[in-house]
This record gives sequence, C-alpha cells and structure tokens, in this order.
Amino acid sequence: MTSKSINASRRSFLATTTALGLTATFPLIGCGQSARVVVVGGGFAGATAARQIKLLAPDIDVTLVEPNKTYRTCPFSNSYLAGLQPWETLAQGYGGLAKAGVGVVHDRAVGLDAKGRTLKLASGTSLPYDRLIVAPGIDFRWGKGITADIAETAIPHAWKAGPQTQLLHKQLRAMDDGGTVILCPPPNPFRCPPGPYERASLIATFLKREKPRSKLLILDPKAKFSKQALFKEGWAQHYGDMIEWLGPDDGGAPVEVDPKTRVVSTDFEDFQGDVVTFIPAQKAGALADSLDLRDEYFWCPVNLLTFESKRQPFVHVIGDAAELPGMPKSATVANTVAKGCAAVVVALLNDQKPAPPMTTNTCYSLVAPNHGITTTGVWEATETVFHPLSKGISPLDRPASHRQKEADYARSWYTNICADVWG
Amino acid sequence: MRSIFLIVFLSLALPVSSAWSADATVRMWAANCQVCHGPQGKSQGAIPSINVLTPEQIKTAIADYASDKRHSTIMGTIARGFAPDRVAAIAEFLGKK
Repeated sequence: MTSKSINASRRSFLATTTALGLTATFPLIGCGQSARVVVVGGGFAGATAARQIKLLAPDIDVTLVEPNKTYRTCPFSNSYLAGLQPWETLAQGYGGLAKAGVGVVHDRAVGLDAKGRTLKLASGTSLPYDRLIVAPGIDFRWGKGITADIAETAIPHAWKAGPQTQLLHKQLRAMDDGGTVILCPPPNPFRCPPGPYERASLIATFLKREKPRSKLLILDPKAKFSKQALFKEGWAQHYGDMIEWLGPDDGGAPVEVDPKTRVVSTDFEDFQGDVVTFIPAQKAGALADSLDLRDEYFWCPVNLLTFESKRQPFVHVIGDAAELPGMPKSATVANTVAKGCAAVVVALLNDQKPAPPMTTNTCYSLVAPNHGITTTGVWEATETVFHPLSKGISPLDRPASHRQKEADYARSWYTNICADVWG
Repeated sequence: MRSIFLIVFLSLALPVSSAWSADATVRMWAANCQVCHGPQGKSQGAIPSINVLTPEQIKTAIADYASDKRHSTIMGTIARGFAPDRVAAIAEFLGKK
C-alpha cells in the first residue's frame, strides 16, 4: 500500500468516523503518523520481532529498547569455553537493525502505564505504543548457597553470555591438570535444555586436549535430560570415562554449594570441585516483574494464538520468558515465535484476524567439535497448546560422517540465525 | 488533540485487502525456513542456500524429504511438519523467480 492510498483512506475515513460519532473502542495511535510498536529486549526474540515487523510493514514505526550496545550469544559460548573460538565472535551489535529502519534506543524499561499505553524508561523518557512486545529473557532463583554475588565472583552460572562466561573460561585454564570440574544443571524448565550437557562435552574437549588427567562431574537434580542417549553415546566415544553424570537416583542432586571450599553437597555425599559451574533454577527476566507480566509460577502466561500477555492488554511476551506449553526455550524457538508474533501484531494493527503462529525448533548441540546432534520440531499454535506437527531427533549409532555433517550444519545455523536476527 | 489521535488511528484501522493477511501468513511460514537457510534463503556455510532453487525444485525436494526418498539429517522431520499447500505457497515466495 502506498502512502498516497493511506492518506486517501484517512481522509475518507475521517469523514465517516466524524459522521458516525465513533469513539475510543480502537487503540490509540500517537502523533498522527503511523502505528507504533515498541519492542523491549534485544536478544534472539526481541531483535527478530523488531526486524520482522519492519519487513512485513515498513510503515509501522518500530523502536527497540535494549540497555546494552553489544549482545553476546549463549549459543556457541560453550565453543568459546573450549577454546574453539575467540570471545569476540559471540558479539552482536544493533547497527543492522538500525539500517533496517528500526529505531534503537539504548535505555532500560522500568515501568508501564497500561491504560495510557506508555512505556517508561530509566532515563525518564516515555515511549507511547499501540502494541508492545517484551522479550525479558531469564533470571535466576537463587538458593543452595548461591547468590548473584557468588555467581559473579566464584561459582559462575555463565547462563547469560557475559563476564561470567569469561570467568569460567579463566578458571578452567587456571585449574591444575588432574583437577575436577563440577557442573550442576538446573531443574526444568530452563533456557536451552541440552545446553548444560553441551557445556560438559566441550569442557571435556578442552580438558582432553590440555589437562587430560582431569575429570568432569555432572551433579543433576533431574533423572532425565535432553538428548541423553546421544550425549552418553558421544561421551563414551570421545572422552572415555572423563565425564561422569549422577542423577537424583544416583545421589547426584545438589543440596548445597560452599563457595569458599567449592564443595557440592548432595543428600548422600560431599563432592570436592576445583572449578564449579552451578546453573540455578530459572524464571522470567526481571523486566517481566517491572512490567507485571509474570505469574506465581515464574513465567509469563500468554494467549498462545497471539502471544498477548494474560496480565496486560496490548502487550505481547516472547522468548524464553513466555510460557509456551510444549515448546523448548531455545534460540530457534525464540526466533520463530518472534516471527509469529510479528505477523500477529501487524495483522492486529491492520484490524485483521491473525493466522495461528507456526513455529520450528532446530536445536543443534556439539558433543565434540566434529560431532553434532539435533532435536527438531514443527508446531502450530492452538488455544491451549502448541500442537506438534512433527518431531525428530538424531538417530543413535550413526557413522562419524553423519556427526561431522551435523556439526558443520550447527556452525552454519549459528551464522545464519545471527544474520537473520542482527545482520 | 486526543480526538485527532483517535481519528488518525481509526483511518489506519480500516480493513485493507484480505490478501494482506494471506501474504503475511505465507511470509511467517517461510520465515521458519530462513532461520537455518539464512535471510532471503541465502546461507553461509554448510547449510545449502534455497534462494537458488525454483519453486518447483523446492516442492520436489520437500516431498522427497518428507517421504524419505531423499536422505537428510533433519529435513525429513521439518518437511513432514508442513502440509503440501503450505509448502507450495512457501516455495512460490522463497523460490527463484
């Protein structure tokens, strides 16, 4: 639609609405130019939504609010830990989005005026919107001896790529050969279900190469984990008995961590670590609390057909913080949900009924640099659940060439999704 | 002032052609491909580009993946998730013109 035709329709509609005396059952659009969408959070979900709305409807005014100028991706941060790629390769900026026509504001959202449809920023600025899309990411439920301060200084979770990832990298290199790394995965649900086990794999890649007498012990509160049989097959193949996994039935569920001695206690035993990475239980990011989007079950409930918050009208929640029954919290899901949300928001702003969002997950993990594995799924939203249209997982007992291919695809996926989101 | 805002919005909220929504829906489906195959279906690295294929070639490839006539790592699973009419619409949108 050209701007000329919009203007023409505005004029004719102005006459009609005046004649009919219509009033405020429609959402307000400020300043008389175009619909305004504000997106908060510049990770995989938020940055995707901002770009896709601009692609679908260049006339819509899109603003992205993100405090940081550089985003570090969690995907491939385990390859950085293994020394397979430098820190800088995980960095993404917002220049590509600005070039695509998205207004990028480096500020922090601190509150919401739901009635006036205005987002309040830390700088004191207010941003009016017709539709708000929020991607709060994750935060942590501290406990078992771990606090935010301890995570930053001694026992890194490194589950948001950043200084803690660098701290863990440094600790691994400072450890003596023959030391023990203890990795404690979180309970469900959490960001990137196979991520802790990929981290174990790639730390073992590093240890095998540089500190081959060392051990890696996984103390897990869960009896089962994502891609379990595939990881165990690969661990035996590449690392012999270097990696040991203890679930709750083996007495492996952590009860308490002593950050000074690096002893992890379970109900049955104390385990001495030299490096400990403890990934706490998770919840929606703090932004979800500031904007009152989270429920008592820690995540943000949404209408599955529109991603609109069940707590705040005209606000959509996407990414790991959204409660989407049946779908894993992965980068690919964040990306495809954001695309579904963009289509929904554009349809609603055009007073049309949106189609049910269709989403895909392709979740690659590296068991070793030359050994990739995947889970895959396609879903379509219904009112109550994301209905799976197909699901798949890499088969067991495949030749090295198959694993190599999936490792190469994993690296290509990373390059392509980053170009799709930030490029 | 408030009423001016209202009127301007109401004019934008006028229903536009129904093709708009269909177009956005096909783009949303196709966007599921671009996450791995790259923006506009142009890939970097080992994953093949799909922007070099004609709509016919895309439709044939997806049908062959879905039936396992053509071996794949994950494309069989993905292909079985998309009904043939959706594949056809996506192929028209993404394929080489």
